[in-house]
Amino acid sequence: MKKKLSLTVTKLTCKRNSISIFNPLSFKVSEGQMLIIKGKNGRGKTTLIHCLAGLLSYQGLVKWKGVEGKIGYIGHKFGLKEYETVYDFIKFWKAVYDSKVSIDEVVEFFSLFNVLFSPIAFLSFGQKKKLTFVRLYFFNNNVWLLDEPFSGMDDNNRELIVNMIESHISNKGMVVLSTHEKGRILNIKNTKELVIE
Amino acid sequence: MNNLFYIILKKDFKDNLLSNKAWFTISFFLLCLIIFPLAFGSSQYLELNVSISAIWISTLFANLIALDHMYKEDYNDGTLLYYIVNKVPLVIVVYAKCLSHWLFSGLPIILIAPLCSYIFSGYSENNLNLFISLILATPIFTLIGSPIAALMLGSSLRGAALTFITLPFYLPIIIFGVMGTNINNSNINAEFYLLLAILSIGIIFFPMITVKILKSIIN
Amino acid sequence: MLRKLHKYANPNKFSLIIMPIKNVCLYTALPLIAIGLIIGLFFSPPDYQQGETVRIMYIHVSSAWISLFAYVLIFLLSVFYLIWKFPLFVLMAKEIPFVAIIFTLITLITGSLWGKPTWGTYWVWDARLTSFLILLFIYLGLIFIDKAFKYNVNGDLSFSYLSIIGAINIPIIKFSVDWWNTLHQPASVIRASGPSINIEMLIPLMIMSTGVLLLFFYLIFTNIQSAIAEKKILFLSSKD
Repeated sequence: MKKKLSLTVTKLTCKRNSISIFNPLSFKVSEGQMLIIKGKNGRGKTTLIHCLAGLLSYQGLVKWKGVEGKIGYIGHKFGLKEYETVYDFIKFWKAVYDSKVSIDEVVEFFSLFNVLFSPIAFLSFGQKKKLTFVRLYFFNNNVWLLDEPFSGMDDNNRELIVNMIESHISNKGMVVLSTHEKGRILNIKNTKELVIE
Repeated sequence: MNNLFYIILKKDFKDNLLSNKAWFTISFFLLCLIIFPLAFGSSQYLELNVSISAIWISTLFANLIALDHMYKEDYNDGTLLYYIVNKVPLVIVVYAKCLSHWLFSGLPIILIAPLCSYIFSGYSENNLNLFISLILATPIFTLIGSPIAALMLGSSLRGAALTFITLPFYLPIIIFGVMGTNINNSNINAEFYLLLAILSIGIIFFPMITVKILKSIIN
Repeated sequence: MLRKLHKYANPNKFSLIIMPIKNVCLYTALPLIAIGLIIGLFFSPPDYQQGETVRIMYIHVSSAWISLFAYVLIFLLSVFYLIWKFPLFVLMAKEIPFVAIIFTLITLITGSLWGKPTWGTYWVWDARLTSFLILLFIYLGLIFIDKAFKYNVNGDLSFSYLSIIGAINIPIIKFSVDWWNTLHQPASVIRASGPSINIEMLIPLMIMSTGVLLLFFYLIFTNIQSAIAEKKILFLSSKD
């Protein structure tokens, strides 16, 4: 039997330089749900996401249940090499993840025809950011941790990513997303909000 | 597993070629080698027969300089972060990185050093010894350097401090390497066995500790 | 056991605890060093081979032991830090190299002064001397790595991993006199078959080493206290 996907966090704190960054947090996210982490700069949104990804050591409990495969992650750093071409980048990560998704499909989905063979250094910030989402597309994971996915994106790209997230949620995935934008961005019913004070 | 190793090795190889760092190490080696006859005065260089020492010192510095960009790029642009979050086995990444580092900073030196020694000094008796001890020593340079290069990630003083910190650890290798090159009696090769022992321990130990370091240091 | 220790891992408490210990260390170290020096320099017998120059030993050997002991201490503290993640351990470990490097320098300088009359030269590239010089550079490297990572959490980890890698050097130093044919004399006190040194020389050496050890502890405790205070100031200033 497949376990239901859920994330339970109890009394999570993280210390850096022996100063705890946020007050103890407790929340629960389940299958098909999206968690939006809101808060001002310097309140530890990125730190929280890194804790959830297991990159930082923390105090408290973070319990994942039913995670299939790897955790998808988008961070501030893109993981792109300036001198690489877009095609090489896609090919490399396809090989690393041993993915069955074809390159053509990715190129079509992200509409990368025009830039496919140009070095990544020539791309704009938004285009680079879009490329990082290629990693999420490649492997079949049900948890996404997105750190400010909308910053520096134009309307078209934003729509693309919103579509990606929406279809992911409807496929019984889970998304944890941090943003400092106000108002509703996504048209998803099953949304939780967590404001870090 | 093997497939992943091959993919990452290929990518690293390509990165080295594309970012034009590959030729830097070997060029530095040659440049460093040329300094010695100039510093000694060419007649004294031949008399003292310092070509072996010159080759060892040049190898040392070429390796030290190449160390800096072993993990730097992948750390700065976040590729390592994605490897770790997506549970790509870091052991494979580290071994691939070490191998590609050695291919660019060890192998060319091994191939070119006996020739250089002959051209500069006209003396070819020690060439086989030099060749063997370089084959044993350059992988050790790479392996010792890898955890220390990983340690210095995220530091502002990286380049200078890295050179200073790594150098003491290279000294024993240099000592045994030079001793191994200069042996006259070819029946006793204790230094080679010692280097081989260090290499065979190091090939397990150093990548392992590098993985530990990379995992804990990524933030 | 660990629970109990946990209470003392609080830097403030630790700072209070080491205060009296520090003073005890200082006030026992100074008389011990004085007694050791007086016995060593005036009352102990001269060596039948080396004559009066053997008296350098009382400083040379004791500071050499301390330099090695300091590294072992750094190594253990770093391992504990990596296992239990108490920041206090690495805070203590980080303060040791500054003190230890002085003892290492004393060892090297007195050693070369001793070498001139007995070996006829200040410096020889034999295994013991070279490995001890490498120890000096490893201490320098540890200090540098601490400086290179100011205000960065990674500095603690880097420091402890580097000290673990550098620990390879310690057995090499200890056994270099047995493994290679060196000019440096083999160990005569700490060895498997018991000390071979004359008891009249051993007593002042032991007094001297205890005194220097206590002095070393006094110095590192002082350093640790100031490091804790520094950390406290940093903590207060970073709070809103």
